Amino acid sequence: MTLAFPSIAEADRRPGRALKAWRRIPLGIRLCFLVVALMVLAAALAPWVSPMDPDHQSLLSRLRPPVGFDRAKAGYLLGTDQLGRDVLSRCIHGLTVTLGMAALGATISLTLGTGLGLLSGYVGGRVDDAIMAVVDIQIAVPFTLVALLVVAIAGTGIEVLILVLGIAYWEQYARIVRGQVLALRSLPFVEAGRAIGMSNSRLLFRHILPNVASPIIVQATLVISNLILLESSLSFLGLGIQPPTASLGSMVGQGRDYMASAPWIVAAPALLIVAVALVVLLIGDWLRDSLDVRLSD
Amino acid sequence: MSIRTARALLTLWVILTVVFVATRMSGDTIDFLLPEGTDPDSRAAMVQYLGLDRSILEQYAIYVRELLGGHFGLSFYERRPVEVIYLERLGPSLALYASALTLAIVLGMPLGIVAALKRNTALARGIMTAAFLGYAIPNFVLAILLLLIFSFHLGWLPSAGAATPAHYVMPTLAVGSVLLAAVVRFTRSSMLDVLSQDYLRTARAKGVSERVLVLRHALRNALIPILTVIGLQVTNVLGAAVIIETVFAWPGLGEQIVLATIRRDYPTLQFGVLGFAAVVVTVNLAVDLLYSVVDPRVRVGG
Repeated sequence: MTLAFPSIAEADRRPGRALKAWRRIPLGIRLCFLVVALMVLAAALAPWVSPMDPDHQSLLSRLRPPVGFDRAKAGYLLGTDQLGRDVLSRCIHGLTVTLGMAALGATISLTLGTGLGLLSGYVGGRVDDAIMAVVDIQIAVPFTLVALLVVAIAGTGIEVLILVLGIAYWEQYARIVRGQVLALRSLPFVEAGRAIGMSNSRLLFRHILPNVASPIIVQATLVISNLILLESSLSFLGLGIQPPTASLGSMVGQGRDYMASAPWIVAAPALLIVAVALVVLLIGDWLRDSLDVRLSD
Repeated sequence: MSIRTARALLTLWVILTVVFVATRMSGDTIDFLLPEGTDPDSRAAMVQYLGLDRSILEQYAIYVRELLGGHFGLSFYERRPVEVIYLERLGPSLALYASALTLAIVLGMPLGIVAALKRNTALARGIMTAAFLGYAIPNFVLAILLLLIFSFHLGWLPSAGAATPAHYVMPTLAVGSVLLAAVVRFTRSSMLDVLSQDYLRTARAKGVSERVLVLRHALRNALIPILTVIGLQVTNVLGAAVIIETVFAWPGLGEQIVLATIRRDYPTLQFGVLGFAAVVVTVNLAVDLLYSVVDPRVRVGG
């Protein structure tokens, strides 16, 4: 009898698999993923999808309200700002900056935190003490203040902002990874690996790291939403992204002076920040539940 | 002195040193201070006056010596002791923190308890959705949205300052929202954990009234995780307050720190960072000690 059962490897590659996995995700979360995908797409294609040049000023049509209100100007869907720039186009470009910064910061903190966490948990001893002492210090100071300090010393610049975002939340990864490594280190599969003469790096990166992956992924979504907020807060204070480049936060900050007469300048980017933070957090929450990861807080 | 206290002090000393060295590494302080086109002689005199011509080690030694004598430095701008500057602003900030904390506890715990007791009802789902929103909306965005609605659209609440009780409403909400949401979520999950325990079934079986059961037996045991969350969130609340104070022109500590950052007023900034760090370290110590009060089984070691 020659019944052909697909092997597990083949089953993995069956086209319907991804679709089935997608269907298992609750509807609300699927929506969130779609929204995130849309936002990333809009951010990545900002120069092509935004209706106008975000920096083009037309002083004759300043402070025009969004479509549907009195004095609205055709073609300016979300109105114009104090210099007659298109709010919608600025929002889309601001989203690019905000998401890009958050992604960069998240990559740096993930690499830094995971690396130091692995080192701390695996090597132990003095190295562990030193790294954990730095973690303690970072926890003791509200990060907003660290950020202010760095900006005061190094000035406002995009490199400084990336640095600030990169060091903001590394300690969360470090703590989680260290805890997991400590738990994994004494398990039989690690001992077995060591017994057959595996090198430390192979053991760490091929065998221990994959087992720490799910808490890292969950943490990463939380960190990204925190980074979006941090970047927005700093830019809002005028200490992050500098004009003429705009992030969502700096748009809110600069629009503050016009809140009484032109609330849309502030409302549009503010609501967009809320939307981004919300969908990322919802996905993070769902991931945590479905990967069944227990985090310290 | 316990090991815990020693560690806290060590942490503070390291922070102090790092902050000191870091602020001295950028050499252009003086250029921020003086107007453009100041002649070199005046500039040199100013550098000498502020003590910036000495070596970093010398400056550090002087700084630590003065610190131990209770002198925290003079502001580059106001030429007043920084502790005096902050002391003037302590009152409004403390009032803001206190009202945010009160809001979170007084509103958050009952809502969390209700969400736990009436779970799977529309009311509980409503509470948890609101809590999630509170968690997800960044403080300063909430502040801006509140301003847009209540100050500029409806004209109900004042938009800046700290003069009357009405001034407290929006800043309190904006600072306290995340903490409130955290307290609701953790009270709920902590209560759910406790409510399924055997000793509660026993208590119910022996005829303890539902009120006493929830408030005396369940809540008391649920308090520990709630306390932990409040302790963990202190750092976030202080960080958020710095920004919220700036938004509402609140005459508090946070606004002063942001001002010091923008002006590169290092002595003021330095004292601010150190002060906040001291508060966070102290609060965490206090939370550790409170554990043993709430739960006699926990004995803080060291």
